[in-house]
Amino acid sequence: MNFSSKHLENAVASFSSLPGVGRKSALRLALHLLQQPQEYTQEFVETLATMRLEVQECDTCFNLSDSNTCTICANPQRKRNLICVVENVRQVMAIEETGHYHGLYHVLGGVISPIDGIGPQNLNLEGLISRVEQAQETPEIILAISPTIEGETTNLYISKQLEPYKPVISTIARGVSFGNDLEYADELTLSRSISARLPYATQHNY
Amino acid sequence: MLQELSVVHFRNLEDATFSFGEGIHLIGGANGMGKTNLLDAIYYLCLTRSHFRYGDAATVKHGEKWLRIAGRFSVGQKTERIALKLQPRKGKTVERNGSPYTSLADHIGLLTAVMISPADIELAIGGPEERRRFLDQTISQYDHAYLEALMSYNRLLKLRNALLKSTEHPLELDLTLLGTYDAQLEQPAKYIYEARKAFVVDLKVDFEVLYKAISGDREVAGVEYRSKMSERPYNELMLRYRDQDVVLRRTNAGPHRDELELLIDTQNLRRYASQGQLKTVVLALRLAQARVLKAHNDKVPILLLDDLFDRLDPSRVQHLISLIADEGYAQIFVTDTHPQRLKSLEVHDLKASHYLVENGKVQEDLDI
Ligand SMILES: [Zn+2]
Repeated sequence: MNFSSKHLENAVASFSSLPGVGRKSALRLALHLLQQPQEYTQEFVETLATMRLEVQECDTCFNLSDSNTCTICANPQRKRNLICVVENVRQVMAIEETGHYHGLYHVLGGVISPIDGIGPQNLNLEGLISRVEQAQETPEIILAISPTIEGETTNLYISKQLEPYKPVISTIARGVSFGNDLEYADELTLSRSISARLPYATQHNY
Repeated sequence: MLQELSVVHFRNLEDATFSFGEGIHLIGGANGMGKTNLLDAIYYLCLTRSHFRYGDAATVKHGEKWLRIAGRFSVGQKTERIALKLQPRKGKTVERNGSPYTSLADHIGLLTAVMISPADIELAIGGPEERRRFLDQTISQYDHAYLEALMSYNRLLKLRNALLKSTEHPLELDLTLLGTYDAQLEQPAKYIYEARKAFVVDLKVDFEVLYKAISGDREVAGVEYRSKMSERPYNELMLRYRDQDVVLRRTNAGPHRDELELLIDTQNLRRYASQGQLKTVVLALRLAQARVLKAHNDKVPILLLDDLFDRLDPSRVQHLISLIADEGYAQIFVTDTHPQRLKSLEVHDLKASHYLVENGKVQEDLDI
């Protein structure tokens, strides 16, 4: 691509650094912005900058939030004694989309995979343990982690760590087919698998 | 039975379509002309990969970007059309009667083939991983759950070993996580162990009989499955080896350390067997493999004998041929460099057809 403007070239380079955006789309987006009134771009850029600055992780559940406590944790209507453990924020959104879950969440930020350099210490696990520890009434834990080998390791590990507090632990029913990510499951399957959750057997002698 | 085979861009073979009937197909030609490739194309189509361990990309003809092997088989009363297409950058697809498989593993077991080539000597003289591969390839052909258990086991083992390597200091190791992997490994490990044990029980009987028949009663060969899994329950085994695992930073017990020990006159054959004995062991193992597959799948495998006379004295070859003639193989493909030696294989009841391979071109040889 030949650019008559260095500024345009820079903008195209920035757009195409985004995932899934090629050089052609980047050029289309940049040219589009040039055709809009200046205020449009101003607002657009401010929205992005504010988002980056203001969005943080909830101190309790590690969901994305505009303050120390996210709207789900702050909602008095939510059942405090039910915690759904998920890998990432997109899974929170997928489950929220169903409208059938009224408990709280805990976002781990991944699954245990030493091959990828992710050990338990790299996940938000301590936060989960202290939530269970400090709760007045031991909460029920729903493990809604992808049913992969690494997901299963994470489930087993969490349940072993929570053993001293003897919580009721369940996993989501495997309506979600093996190997498929939770976030790709359709809403109906998802809400069914949460309501038909299965008790999680944690007994093993290792 | 393979009725028709066509190859496009497969190794050095000229693009062509061949028809085959029942009986023994005797394929002559000098070394490097493509005889082996013809056999491998058949094997490839039956098992979705080459008998040899060069990567998939190396099976595509030099300078080409894809290959296709297609065949028409009769399986019982049915006709099966199988087509395999490989584009090394994009992957491999296999179609059965026009519809592609979602997983290549689904094709395994539909068509059985057993190939014996000079490279198979590694089965006898190579490390234990060669014989574990033999176990895995055979059992996977009749037991799908075995293949799944094996894939889970290998994946978990990799994760467990990565955990063991993740820290320099044994005291920093997360033993809860290590135990989590052990708990997950237990089920596939037990499945693999039980399936291998049962397979070797079947294999042993056939192997010993076949070895005797080929060697002409000269010596007694044996095969033993050795696994630490037989010593104690899996959880005890893992706990017993835990300290060693932590120090050595790898997993020391489990089916990935199993051995299929081969013996001649109760001695481990890697120490003192002759070339002829080693080759006989390989032939007996492969033919026993064919028998076990036949018993499980109720299908007679296609027998592919590459460079048959390699390391064998004439008396063993004659024993082998009469043995094969009695085993009821519908189709046998044999390659050798000497037309006269191939001709000597005609004596038995099998209908014989001759071929000559020159520079990748396969022709029926009517002069013999
Ligand atoms: Zn929260």
